[in-house]
Amino acid sequence: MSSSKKIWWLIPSICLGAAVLTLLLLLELGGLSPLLAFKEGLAMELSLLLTVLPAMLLINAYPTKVGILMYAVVTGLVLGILGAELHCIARNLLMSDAEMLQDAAWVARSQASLWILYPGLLLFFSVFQAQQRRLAEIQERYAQQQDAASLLKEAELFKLRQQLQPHFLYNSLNAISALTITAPDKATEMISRLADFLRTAVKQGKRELVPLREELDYLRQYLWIEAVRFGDRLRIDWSGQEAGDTTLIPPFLLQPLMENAIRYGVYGKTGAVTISIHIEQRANMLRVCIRNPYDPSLKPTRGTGFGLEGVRRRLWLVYARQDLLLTAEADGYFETTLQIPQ
Amino acid sequence: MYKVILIDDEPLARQLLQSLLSAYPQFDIIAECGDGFEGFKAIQQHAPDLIFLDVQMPRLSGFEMLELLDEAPSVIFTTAFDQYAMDAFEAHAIDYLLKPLSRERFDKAIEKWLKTADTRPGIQALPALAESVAAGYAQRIVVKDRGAIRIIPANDILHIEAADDYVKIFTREGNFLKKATMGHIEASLDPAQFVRVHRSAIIPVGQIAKIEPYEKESHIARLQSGAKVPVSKAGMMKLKQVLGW
Repeated sequence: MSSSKKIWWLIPSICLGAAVLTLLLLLELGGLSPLLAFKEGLAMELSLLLTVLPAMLLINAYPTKVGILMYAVVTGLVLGILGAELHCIARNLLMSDAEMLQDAAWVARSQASLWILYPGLLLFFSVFQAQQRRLAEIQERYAQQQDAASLLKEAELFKLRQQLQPHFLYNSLNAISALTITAPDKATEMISRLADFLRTAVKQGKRELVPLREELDYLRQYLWIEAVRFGDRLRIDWSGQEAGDTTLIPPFLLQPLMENAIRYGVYGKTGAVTISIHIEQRANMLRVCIRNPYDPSLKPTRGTGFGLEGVRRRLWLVYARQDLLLTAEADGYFETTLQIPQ
Repeated sequence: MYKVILIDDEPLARQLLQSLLSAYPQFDIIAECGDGFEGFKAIQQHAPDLIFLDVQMPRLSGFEMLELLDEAPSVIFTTAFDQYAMDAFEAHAIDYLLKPLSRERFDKAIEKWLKTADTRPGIQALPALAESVAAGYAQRIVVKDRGAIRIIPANDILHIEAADDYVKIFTREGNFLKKATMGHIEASLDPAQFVRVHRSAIIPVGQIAKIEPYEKESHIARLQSGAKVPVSKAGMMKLKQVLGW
């Protein structure tokens, strides 16, 4: 920004400089009278200003579909011709006929050179400006790539942390420990389910998008384990359409949402709790809605749902959108709606 | 016989504790509870010698439950927190078991408890423990209200006053006493919302209606509830900082 600001006062001063230089040159070489030389300089200053500034504006606002060099050449030539024309008009306005006649020979000679001088000058300026712009763009793209790379790394780390879920893992292992005493068969099954869950987590972690079906399988593995931990207290009500193979979703979004629903549902009430999940796809948008009962009078003890924040951040990283995760609460229910563009 | 209560929201976790404890005939499990509310009632009813307490539980957390008890029983915490969160427990020499429980660690904890059973002081460092395992500031305060448990959302607090060994919490629905120090309450609440304006007063900045000078160097804050609260010189400085004056 600061460099473009500098250019705004740089251009008029360059124009002024050019005009003064012309004036001096004309005084020395052309043998013009001082007054006429001054008027000539003024005409040049005016027409340069009126063409160089638009040239810069046009170059800066160039449409991306055209090659910038071609664009700059055309802009430079057109404005150059315009500049020469402007110079002639300014000259006619500033100088009286008598003055013109006095130096008629010189005026006639210079008239021709204007048509070379202006287009040349503006062509040079436009191309130079276009090059500067290209350079700035390359630098910007490079910085963007650096940013994206660091974001990706962050996302990887985040995914890793999501996958590990130490709290869930430790509690599940504790439950298995109990099952080995009371129901060894069930313990064996729980171990293999937990292994499946972890295996899926490791596998999905490498992919940006996974089929919804796989993500739902992962969710079911998770829910099976939670059902063992919470016994009869947890019920899941599935509804909506099962998705086809083409429906894709970033991995590990549903499980944290479900974990959140279970935490507020089961932890907020003592009796049995039903959590409903509804899936539908409409107009290129997949919607997954998870609803859990909760007690609004029981404020969360400390902090807010990390699960929701994490999901929101991942959606931002993948889709650069903030509006994909919606929450609503009413009548003792908390509803989270996840939207995934297809 | 020692009376034991198991408090954990997962039935299987309680089963595991049962079976580990069955090796010690001198312990008698007199109650099992699935959350802090039940635990609170059972402890008051049975006055146990030892409780096994999960920290993260439905409705009322383990710490909140302990805060409410007049006489804290001897506790062994069971938790699935990461080791780093347990540094505060180590620092205050408080017994805990990490999930998944191991028999070896369990036996050690029981033996240690048996050795010191008669000389065991209650837990003094609850606020520090609560802070160590949870991120963020308290969103609520739990108090006893004529034997029942009442949860006061932090947003409902009008102001808090010191009252000897207690703090008095003013809300629209009445005033509630809680056995705690002003320092602990101050530390647990979000400092951007609650300011300790005086040795004996904490006010939510959103409740301030007017601040008037009073005697030299001190002020009086008029709250929207109509209450008048003294503001010390140091309190005024804190207020200015929070409000960005």
